[in-house]
Amino acid sequence: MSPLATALLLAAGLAPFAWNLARRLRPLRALRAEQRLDRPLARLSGLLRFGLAQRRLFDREELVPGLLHVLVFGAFLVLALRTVTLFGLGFSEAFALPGLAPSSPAGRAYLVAKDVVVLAALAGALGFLWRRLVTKPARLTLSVEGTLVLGFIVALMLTELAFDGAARLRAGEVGWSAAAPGGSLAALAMSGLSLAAAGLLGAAAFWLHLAVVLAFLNVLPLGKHFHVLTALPNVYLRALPPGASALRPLDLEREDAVFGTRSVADLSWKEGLDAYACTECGRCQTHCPAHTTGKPLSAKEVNRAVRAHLREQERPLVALAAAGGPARAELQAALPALADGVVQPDTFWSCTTCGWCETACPVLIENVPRLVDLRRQAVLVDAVMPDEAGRIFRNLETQGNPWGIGSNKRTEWCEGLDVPRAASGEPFEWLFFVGCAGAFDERQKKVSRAIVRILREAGVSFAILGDEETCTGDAARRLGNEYLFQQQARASVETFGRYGVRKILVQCPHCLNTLRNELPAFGGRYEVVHHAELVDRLVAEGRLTLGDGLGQVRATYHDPCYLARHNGVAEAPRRALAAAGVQVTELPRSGRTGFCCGAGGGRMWLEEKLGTRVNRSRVDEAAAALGGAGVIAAACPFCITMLKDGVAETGREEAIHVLDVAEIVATAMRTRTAGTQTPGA
Amino acid sequence: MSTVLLVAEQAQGALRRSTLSALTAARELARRTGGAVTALVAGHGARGAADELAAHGVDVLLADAPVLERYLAESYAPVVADAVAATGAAWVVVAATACGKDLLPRAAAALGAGVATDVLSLAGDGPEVLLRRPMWAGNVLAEVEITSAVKAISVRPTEFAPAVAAAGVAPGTVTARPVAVAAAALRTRFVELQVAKSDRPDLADARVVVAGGRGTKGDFKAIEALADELGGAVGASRAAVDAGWAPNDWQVGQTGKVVAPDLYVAAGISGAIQHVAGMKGAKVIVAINKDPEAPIFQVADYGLVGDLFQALPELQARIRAAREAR
Repeated sequence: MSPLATALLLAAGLAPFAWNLARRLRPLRALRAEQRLDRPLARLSGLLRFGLAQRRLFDREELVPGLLHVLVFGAFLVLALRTVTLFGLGFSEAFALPGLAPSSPAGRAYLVAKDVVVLAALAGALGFLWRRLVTKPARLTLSVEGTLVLGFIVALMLTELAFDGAARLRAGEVGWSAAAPGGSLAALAMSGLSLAAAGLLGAAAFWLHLAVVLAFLNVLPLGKHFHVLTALPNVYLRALPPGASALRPLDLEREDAVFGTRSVADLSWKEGLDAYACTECGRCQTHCPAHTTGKPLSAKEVNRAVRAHLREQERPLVALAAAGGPARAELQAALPALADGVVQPDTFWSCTTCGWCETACPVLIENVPRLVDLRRQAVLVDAVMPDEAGRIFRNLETQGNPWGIGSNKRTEWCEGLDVPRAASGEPFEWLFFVGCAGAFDERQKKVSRAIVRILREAGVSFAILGDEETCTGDAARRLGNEYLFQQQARASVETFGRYGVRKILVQCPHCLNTLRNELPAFGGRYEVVHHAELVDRLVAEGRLTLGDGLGQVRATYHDPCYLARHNGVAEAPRRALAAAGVQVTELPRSGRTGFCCGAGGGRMWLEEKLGTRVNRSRVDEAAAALGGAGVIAAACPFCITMLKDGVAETGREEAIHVLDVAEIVATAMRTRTAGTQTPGA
Repeated sequence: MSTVLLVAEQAQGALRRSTLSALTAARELARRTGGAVTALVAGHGARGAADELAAHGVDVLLADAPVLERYLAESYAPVVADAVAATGAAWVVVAATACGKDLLPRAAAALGAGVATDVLSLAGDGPEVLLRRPMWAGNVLAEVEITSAVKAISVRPTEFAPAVAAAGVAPGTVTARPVAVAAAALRTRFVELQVAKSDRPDLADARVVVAGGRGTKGDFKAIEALADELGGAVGASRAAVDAGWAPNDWQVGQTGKVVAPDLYVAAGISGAIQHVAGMKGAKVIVAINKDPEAPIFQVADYGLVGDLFQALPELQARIRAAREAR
């Protein structure tokens, strides 16, 4: 080959690549600082699991395209070595990577593997092309860029095969060989050619291959295929658990406090990288409760908008990164507001923070916190928010509950039940944190009372805070009012501290999430469990024996997002239901990949004006699973409200009932007692 | 002797009713402080309102100029300050209406006056009159005293009975005041006035609200008839609005309007907490529902388990009969 031509080709290809790479990365230096290099072992294990092992691409729902990606991804890994080898061959025909000389066993094995993946990648790329050009699934962004890149991949594989095939022909190896499945097939295909023609074709394929590699490389930083270079770093730099389940506390006391995200410079550098890592596959939107019901929210579109905006603002951001002092503030203030055309208010107000997009994203892009940060700016700085948001904030401020019901009525639900109070001074094991819904909502009061019956039946030592309980502030935080949230969080930590609370029982997954994942940042560390988890434990310990909760009625279980997805509690409620004799007919969307009821992220407190209603869509799904009649079991006051409304709105009140797991378990206690009494009677 | 300056509100030469309530408050204040009431009417073509007020036996300053055609805090505040200077008033009283709440702070700032807003009642005599007003979203009542030389207050119109002109009372004088406000110097300008046209009172201010829910099955006729009989507004639960039975601006609840009427009739509304949050401030809640288990009965002062299509017309007939008998 030709060292000079190879060197020139490399220089011509790598120089613009390096230039463009730098142009894309330099603006990130102006973005908000964030520590993402801690706990390297956890990060490496994430890189192995989600990066190299492609965990999310094996999700059953998107299995076929997932497997196609795995083929192409595997091929890229194997062929990276081959590409280096080919450039080496350009300099010297005897070139081989150390340990991979073609004559060595490892080298021969590599060549076999290489040929297999070349064929696999060719199949994968052709499969993708078929999806793009023929079947066109809705979640894809159909673009010239995508087709071009697939064209590159096909060209790379074909030139690779042609180069190998020609080499085999020239060496007189015409027939099929298992040692070179790709090369021998290519040789067979080219066997009609003269030696000279084959040689010419081989040389052409070689140079074309190198040129395509460099062209491909140069295309990557320009568009969404920057994914190819940024995805693995993005996975390594991911938000470690609890991730989006615990939002970033703002330091509100600082002189130069920044309240959320106004301009692109308020995004963290990782959020910038997220936008680069997104290749717009659209898995984030397939079960997004906002997107599927016609709201203007799609995480991939947000990524696309941020990516385009980063490029538009390249110069100001580079200047900002270099500036200091007052010049910095000035440059920062000159950047346009994201809410002003990049990410619309209707977009960031539509999110229920259910976390589907994050659980679906193969490269672990953090979609939820950045939307909350935009709400924070809207609420804390611009004071531009839906009117109803102002109402719930005021209610929380004055009465410590979202409805603004007198805080002195917080214990009315348990009048006559003689429920012990933490303030009584009697020791207790569990603090039963009733929650606002459990205390004030007539529907949910029944669940609170069912939980008390269960605790008494199992002889669990517990107490409630009574009037001293206040909202955890989950909705305030997710609606962007960080100030109010922190006030509530500090009050809770102080109250818990006063009574030496260590173990907390909740009935609301939103309380659970905040108490479990968000209070540690405020110095509150407790064991927090949901009542379904406690029931499961009590049954396993033999402290609770249950009869039949529902009889012959069909039942399904709706996973609350903040239980199953955000806190990994999916099995305990099912075991609790099983113990109560309930056989759950699973919904198509359940467990970690459940579908939101529409009330999370503070959306419970806002009017749903855009698109169709999320809760109806979910109730339709449940009704189908139940064959039209039965019980939807749930474990969250918001879900119960939404599902109950959905049942009524779709005229199914007679056929479908929505019950909390605790209510079913409490009924099962009664039927057991009845059952044991009958024989003696 | 301290003068109490009542700042009147008028539209097209007609006095606003809230001003008559404020007049009652101003008179009480004058009685307690041993002073007299002078009123200020500002506007353009406002002579009628000035005469109307003077008929109550009050001396009126009339600031009438084209620049005051449309209410703007910026143009009215200097007029108030001028009237205080002209009368040597120690107190400025406005009704706590949208305009009054807007005007008072600006006028008070110009006068260096201490302010108490939303005053519900007065107590004590002499210059140290105590003013009772709500704080913390109405959860506590505070009694405050203003210590500045000029004192500015807004009074809640519903807490003071509107003044009635006694027959044979000698009308007060109407004195024109020159207006020195230059239109060109104003930094705010009037853009437009949007008036909601409805034969019924506004839901948020209505003294009576009759609301319907899913139980109406889309038929709001009985609800509307009772509301009209009582001169009230019509409300709806979210379920009824969602079903398209009632317009959006009828929605009462956490995510709709929050109302606090004297009487709230909930017909065919189950009373989910999201609805209750919007009407729990009502003085008297009457619930009519077929389901005896409906949570609305937990918050209702009077509950009737029954069919609203039967109950509402009967109720309406009884109310009409009682009224005709009077």
